[in-house]
Amino acid sequence: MAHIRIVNEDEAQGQLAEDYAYLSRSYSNMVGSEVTTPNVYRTHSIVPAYFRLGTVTNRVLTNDGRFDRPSWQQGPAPEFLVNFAVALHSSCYY
Amino acid sequence: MPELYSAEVGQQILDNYQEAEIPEVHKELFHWAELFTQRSWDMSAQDLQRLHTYGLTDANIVGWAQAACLQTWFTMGAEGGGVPLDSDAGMQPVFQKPREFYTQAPEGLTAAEPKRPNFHAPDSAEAVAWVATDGDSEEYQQAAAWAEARYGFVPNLLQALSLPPEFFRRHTLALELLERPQTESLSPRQHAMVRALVSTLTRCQYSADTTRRLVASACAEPGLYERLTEDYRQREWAPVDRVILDFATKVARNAYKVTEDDAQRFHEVGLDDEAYVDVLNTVAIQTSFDRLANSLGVRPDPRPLLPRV
Repeated sequence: MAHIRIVNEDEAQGQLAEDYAYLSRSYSNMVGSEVTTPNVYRTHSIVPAYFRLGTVTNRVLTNDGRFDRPSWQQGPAPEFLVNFAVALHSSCYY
Repeated sequence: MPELYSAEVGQQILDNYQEAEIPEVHKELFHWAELFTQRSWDMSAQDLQRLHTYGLTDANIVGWAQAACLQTWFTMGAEGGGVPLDSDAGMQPVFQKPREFYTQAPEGLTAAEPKRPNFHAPDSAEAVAWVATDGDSEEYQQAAAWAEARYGFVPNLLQALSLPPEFFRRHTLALELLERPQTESLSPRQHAMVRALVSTLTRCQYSADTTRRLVASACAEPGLYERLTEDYRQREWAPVDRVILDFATKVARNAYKVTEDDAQRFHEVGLDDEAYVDVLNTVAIQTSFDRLANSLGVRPDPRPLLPRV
């Protein structure tokens, strides 16, 4: 249970429904099987403008779902490791 | 995330990354992220110069900073919303501890008490930040045109993010969302108060002038900015304002300590879940941009970053 009301994909309409569909496709591509949108995005679902920010963030990080941004995995210490490190130092349960 | 470490090394990192059997440059990354997350106001040009000795370029470092900015927003959203772990999205809990481990932890597990602004100016009088900039990319040109039309100038923060440029479409959207509340449930005054308080907590000189002007434009209430930024807890507030300010402080400092009681407090003073999400996102976006500016030593803009209309 979340702390607040959530609008899930079965209730979503318009842009919110499109964003849910995009995120599900993006993560399904990443893990290689069909999955639903991760819960981290759902916090924002009752204010679609913020949910939209999550979708655009995913588009940036994945190069619109293609997962081919070169800087993501290259360099002496790859960028994706930063996400893990920030979560670690934020004591993030999720 | 691609598999980089064995389970054993992963546990070493969780226990103490400084002692883990990982490359030295990875330890530098974990140290940099620790500063970014917990004490971004203490970061200096010397921190970046040390990263250069490991072969990292300014583009690498700006990429780190942008990734950390995005992750800050994600982390605060996850903890502020209290969403459960995913069962089918291919994501596993990293820390293997129950949520109560964090929410019941002593105050200040990750965040320190603000004391004073600590701005380190770029070395060169012309430089906008500690990192190099590149105004040639198509993405930067689009972002600069957007900023000129919206603000009448190109903010130093956008210039500092030009290496690499692919994050601009996200940052410009986030800047737009930060300009005003996105719901009817939160007033422009309350929204401005949250932004000013957060920039005090992050000790971000880059945002100080903007949030001061935003508070002044949102309401004709003399001394409000000073009441917010000089330890608001010692002042008198309407119950609804106090709930918002306390929640904003908790998210900015210790988002892992948010519980369902925080949402309940919103309801007790007549605020709804939409207001809660609006405050949560205002804090998360402001905090992430403040840390970004602190970590790259971005020089304050010549005037407040507010839309012209």
